[in-house]
Amino acid sequence: MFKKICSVCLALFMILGIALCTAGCGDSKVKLIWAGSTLGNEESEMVFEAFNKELQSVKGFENVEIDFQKQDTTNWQLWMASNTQIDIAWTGYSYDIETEINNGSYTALDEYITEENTPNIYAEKQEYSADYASGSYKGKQYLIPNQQPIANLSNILKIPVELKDYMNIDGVLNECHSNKKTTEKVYQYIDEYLAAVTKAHAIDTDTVAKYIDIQGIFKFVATRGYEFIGGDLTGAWLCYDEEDPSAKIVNFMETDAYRLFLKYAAKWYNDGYVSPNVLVNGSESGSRSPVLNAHSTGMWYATENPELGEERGVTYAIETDDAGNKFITMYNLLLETPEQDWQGVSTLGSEKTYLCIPYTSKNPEIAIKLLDLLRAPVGEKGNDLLNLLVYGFEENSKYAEEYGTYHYTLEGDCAYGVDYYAQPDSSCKYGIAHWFVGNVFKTYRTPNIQAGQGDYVKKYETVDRLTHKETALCGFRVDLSEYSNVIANIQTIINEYNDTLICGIDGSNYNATYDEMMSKINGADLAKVKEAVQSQADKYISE
Amino acid sequence: MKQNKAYMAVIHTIFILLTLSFLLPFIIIVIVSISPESQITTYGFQLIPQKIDFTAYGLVLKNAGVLFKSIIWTLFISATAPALAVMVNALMAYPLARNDYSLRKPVNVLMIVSMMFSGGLIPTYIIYTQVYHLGGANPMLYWLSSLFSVWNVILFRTFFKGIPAELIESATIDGATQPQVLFHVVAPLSKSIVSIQYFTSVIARWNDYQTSLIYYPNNQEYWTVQYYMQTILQSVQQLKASLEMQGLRDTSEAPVTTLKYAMCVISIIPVFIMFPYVQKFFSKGIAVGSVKG
Repeated sequence: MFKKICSVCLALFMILGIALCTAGCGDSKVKLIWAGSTLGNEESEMVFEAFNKELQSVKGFENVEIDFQKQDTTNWQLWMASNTQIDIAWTGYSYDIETEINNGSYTALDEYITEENTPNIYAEKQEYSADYASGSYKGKQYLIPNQQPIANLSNILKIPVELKDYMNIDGVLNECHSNKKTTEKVYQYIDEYLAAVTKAHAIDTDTVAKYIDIQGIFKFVATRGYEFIGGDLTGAWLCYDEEDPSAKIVNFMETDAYRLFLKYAAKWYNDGYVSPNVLVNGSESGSRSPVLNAHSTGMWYATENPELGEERGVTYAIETDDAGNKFITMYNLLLETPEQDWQGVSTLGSEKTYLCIPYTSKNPEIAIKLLDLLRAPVGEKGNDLLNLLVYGFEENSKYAEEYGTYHYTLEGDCAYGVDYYAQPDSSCKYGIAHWFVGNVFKTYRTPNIQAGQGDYVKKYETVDRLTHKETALCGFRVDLSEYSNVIANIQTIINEYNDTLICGIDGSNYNATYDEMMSKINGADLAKVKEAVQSQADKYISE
Repeated sequence: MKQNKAYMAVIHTIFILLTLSFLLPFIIIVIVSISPESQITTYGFQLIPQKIDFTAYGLVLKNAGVLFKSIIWTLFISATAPALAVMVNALMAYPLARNDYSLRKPVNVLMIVSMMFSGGLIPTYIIYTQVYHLGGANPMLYWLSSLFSVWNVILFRTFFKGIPAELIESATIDGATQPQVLFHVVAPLSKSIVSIQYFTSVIARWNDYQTSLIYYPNNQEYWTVQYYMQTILQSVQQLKASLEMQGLRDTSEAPVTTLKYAMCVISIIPVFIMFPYVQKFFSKGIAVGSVKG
């Protein structure tokens, strides 16, 4: 009897097992894993569910399901190290793209991006050729750029609005717009401004800090007109004068521009314009408070606030009072004109935000097709999907009714998030920053982007910028892997001295500190690195 | 007598100053967390704030529902995971403390080797996610990942070894089984080590954000409060950087610095609540293993 019962149970178990296996085999869904660093809001799952429903109604994606994963640099490293399936991922800003490429993290996309296979990406690559070039390395396309509403990254001087009359704004702009490098005259204007503000006791310390952003002024004003090999103030600070056709490579500390800045930094420190705690607390940066601040801004498009009288060359930082009235808080003096935005060393990753297909993708063909679908022209299904993914449920949409919640209201082409203005954060119900998943000019805009701004930037990126003058090393890419230890040593020396020097801490004794730094830098084989870069640059120019 | 008074005054002064030096950083943390961001960037840290501003706390509390859920979840994990861990570690340590356990040497060697040459994060991640398929919708990792610690087993073993063998022997003579000896004789004598291990594990669990970050980033249900706050900070930093990049709006009041300090204050609250209750065990427990001979 016992044996019989066991036999029946075993038979049932086998039947059940086979049934389950068959059910599993019938489920032929392709799962794509899409990782992104701003995913993971309270109502994300609802939107992703709706997105998958919509996607499955698109021809070719009937059996595709997207599983969205929240991405972080830590997770990314683990995924890549453990060969975890990730089919689409975001990259940029905090990722070292060259290292990732050399590590083999990204799939080369050239064989997938064809006119037949991905018509939208293919067309976009032709149109935004400079952006796409920034995502290619050694002739291979690894990254798909997410276009942003940014045209002509200009360095700016920021002045609190209540102090604007003390600055010779026209003088500063004329001087900067007629010289690619910062002249002594500009520092004199700044010096006069600081003296006048101090003399008039014009600083209301409730709203304006009496100290200047000395580190910002160094970074964004002193270095104007020099192009840094590698694109930033890192490594050995090697650069060349953008106007020099022979591209003589120098360390920035050796330039007159650096010495000139040190002279004024020391003066401003002695005059009390630089905080005595600057090395501890840092400069007054990114704030409206400092009496003078410098930064970089992405927009020359100067009609952001035309109703407030904004003019080309000066943009405003604004705030809105409780009654909804805009008021100006800062004047941003744009130190470069669009025409001064020369095409220079092509810096890998300069677009800052990209999508990639990691090497761990199990379905790269479908992944690239999905990215292509989301770059469909405005009005097509793919574009609706993109807006759904970026903004969530529109107030009057079927999904808002179905799920009993919504994330934005639509007025014309502008999406007003229910709980954010410019872009969502993790505490919002839902939302992904529009520069994160595709071409911003194809999504709805947010209220901080003016109507027509997209067209302006698009024209700038795809037409105007391509006609700009090229520097001697335009498109040059240096290989310094052999000198990484030497560069690290030089970087350490620079880190030791530079902040003290550019903050003027040593006052009028800065020359001794400067000499000490230069002697150490030269002792660390700077000449060897310079020579290597110069030889590669000369070869590039001669070819 | 006079000399004694003067001596005491000096000692008291030294200890008052010492106490202040410990308190001062915490006071500054609280003050910074309730200061306006612009004031911090302008004047640095100050003991007496010129203005009070709760923007940073407002941001943390902006999504009170998620915050509340993450606090409840973290409290739940912080209470249960250490309890389980203490039990497992104690059960592992007890036989290793007994001289009549024949396998104690090879087990000890295995433990020490695994402690000295741990696999590291990547193998651990592969085993959890690709072998055991944990993470995602399965929250078991919050308990499993901290269940066993060689170091804690060694601490337990050392403590158990200090319990007089005569006590155990007499209980055995009276007919107690091994579990009875452990739970009725050894455990009551081990309150201090249990408390200190539980307390330190609770703090570790309360401060844990990596488990959420690595294994549960998509699942807000399983976010710990530390990870939730980390995401807020990241969002504010990202928003600030992005807006500055576009040059579209003033971002002066994005409270990046004050937010960090508000997060510190919130993080430290449970420690403040718990500490008085476990303080008496603290000195005993922390000294385990420190007395030789």
